[in-house]
Amino acid sequence: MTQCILEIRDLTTRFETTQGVANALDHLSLEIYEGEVIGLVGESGSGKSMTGYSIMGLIEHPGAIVNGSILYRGQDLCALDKEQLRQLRGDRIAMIFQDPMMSLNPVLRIDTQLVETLKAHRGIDHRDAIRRATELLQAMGIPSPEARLRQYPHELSGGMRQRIAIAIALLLEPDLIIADEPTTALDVTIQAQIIHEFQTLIEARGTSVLWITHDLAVASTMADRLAIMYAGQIVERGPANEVLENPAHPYTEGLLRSIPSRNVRGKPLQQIPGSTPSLTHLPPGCPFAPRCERAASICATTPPSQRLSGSRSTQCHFPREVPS
Amino acid sequence: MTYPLLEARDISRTFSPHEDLIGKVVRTALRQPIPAHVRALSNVSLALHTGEVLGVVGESGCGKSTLGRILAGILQPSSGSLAFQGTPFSAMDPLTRASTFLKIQMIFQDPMSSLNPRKRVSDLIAEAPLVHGLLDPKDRDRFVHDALTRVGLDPQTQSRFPHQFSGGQRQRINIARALAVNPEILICDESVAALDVSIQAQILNVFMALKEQGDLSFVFISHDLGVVEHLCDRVAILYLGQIVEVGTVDALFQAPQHPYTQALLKEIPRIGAGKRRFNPIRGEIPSPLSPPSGCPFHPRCPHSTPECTQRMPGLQEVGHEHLAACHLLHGTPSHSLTELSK
Repeated sequence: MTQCILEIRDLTTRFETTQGVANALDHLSLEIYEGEVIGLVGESGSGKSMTGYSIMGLIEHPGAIVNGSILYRGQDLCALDKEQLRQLRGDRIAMIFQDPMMSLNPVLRIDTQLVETLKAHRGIDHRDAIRRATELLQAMGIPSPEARLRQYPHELSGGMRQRIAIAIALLLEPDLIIADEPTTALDVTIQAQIIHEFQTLIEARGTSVLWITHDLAVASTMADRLAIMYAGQIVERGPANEVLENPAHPYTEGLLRSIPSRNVRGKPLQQIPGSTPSLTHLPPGCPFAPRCERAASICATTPPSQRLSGSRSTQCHFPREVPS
Repeated sequence: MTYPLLEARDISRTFSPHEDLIGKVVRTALRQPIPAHVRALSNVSLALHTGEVLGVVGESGCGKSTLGRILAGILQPSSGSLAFQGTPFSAMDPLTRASTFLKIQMIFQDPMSSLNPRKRVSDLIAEAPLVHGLLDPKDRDRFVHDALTRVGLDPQTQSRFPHQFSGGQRQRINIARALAVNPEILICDESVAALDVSIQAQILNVFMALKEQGDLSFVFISHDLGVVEHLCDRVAILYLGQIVEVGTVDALFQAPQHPYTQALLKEIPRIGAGKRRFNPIRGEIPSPLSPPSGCPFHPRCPHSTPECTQRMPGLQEVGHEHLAACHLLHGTPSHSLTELSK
């Protein structure tokens, strides 16, 4: 049995806004095993990025983690002090953002940014650090890495910058990478290249990945397991192919049905009516109930609890039967 | 002879960097070369027929938005002409030209930045038809009511401001506003790209319902091949300012001829293929400031030959209503057919 490297238990991240209290994450539980890629899928405002930020300890005022724990190899990240967290962050757990400029310093050359990381965390000498950095850029598909190292981020294209941001995340060989929509802003051909190189590197190292995306298709080509988020909760999770073939939650089902390639060409798409509810004014029962075609009276009053069956779980009063 | 509804003939567009007088003097004094021009579009010919949805697909920097803006009359082409039902805009008198461009409306990607945040929805929708005299001020309320209902919005919301709506609803307002002047053509520039998956389906359904009603033609600019395949009748693939392939959706998606189209289709992540590895094409889109010689795709093309580096391939027929620009398609039976027909 592979080891669980990250375990999120009952995590609630809350924001106190002028409009009211919003639970960006609402009693969220998720385990990530060694060498596994989890696709965390949701629409904007569903809390998928908040999950990443919570793990990385990046939640700032007016937000706070008010409940639950995040265990990294048994150690609670929420209980660590700033210095301990800093040691872990970037070293054992790294994050990649949608906009690579979030992790690149615009006034430093690429080599400085890569080498600094290695020197600070590993204490190796400059020449070794340069050699490691060059190798990694090469592996990320960057042509003539020596020349790139001497450039500034603004001299590079978006795809190149994202490759470098990924290289920085991989530099210290972390156990877990949190990738927040890293290919969303890129063109199809560049996305395919980056996914290809990223997959090769993480497979060789056995790195676990939490791949956060709004794109079910991208998630399905990357992930071993999927977790579908809606209004701060994981409404369904399980092995990727099983979830995609037999979705149990009506939201997953609706998402899949609304994808153009699953509809008859030229005919209206099957759509989920309505729009995502505001987190400050969630309905008392199931948050999806107002948009759900299967909703009954119980859905409007009582929030559903998690139902487990084998490797899958759903949060719905009336989940579709799943062949086991 | 029937003419296409809207036709672009050999349209090119270059953008040159802004240079003030001092810059010009300094440049001349230092004998520096004239700053490089960006060639956003070169020799694009494309026809939109009545009632059809024409998809324009390409990656960032390929010139698809420039093409959309030229078709909508927002930008002037550097060379080439645009014709409406066979009459070039350049041959029309200013009044006719203005009223003809009114028949072409555009819907943009970002639903918020294209709506004036200080105006109420009813003003946003009724302003243009009132200005153009298409609407009697007495009928304003009735008109706004109908316009909102048509795109699936609650008419009660007409006195609200844009910020009080969600992204999908704002895009509906944009559609209602574009439809308010009775256009014949809608140019949609990445109109669903900024929306969530479940909302994207709702907006696509609005477009499809409009298409069903029959009096509109669309140019649908997108990078999303899945959406294009679902909605469009014909597709043009742009690469670095040139059309590399154009054909019916069936022909192009079933039997793509150009290596770039083939690569694009291979590289879209699809559900159902399972966890898989990509075998991507190498390299990035070259800068339009210094486009490669010959075929624009040759530096990335797995099949490139010496000829590709020297000579630009022209569009040639590779099937029924299916054109592609690639030297490798030389000598195919369909090619000799075009030779004969000339």
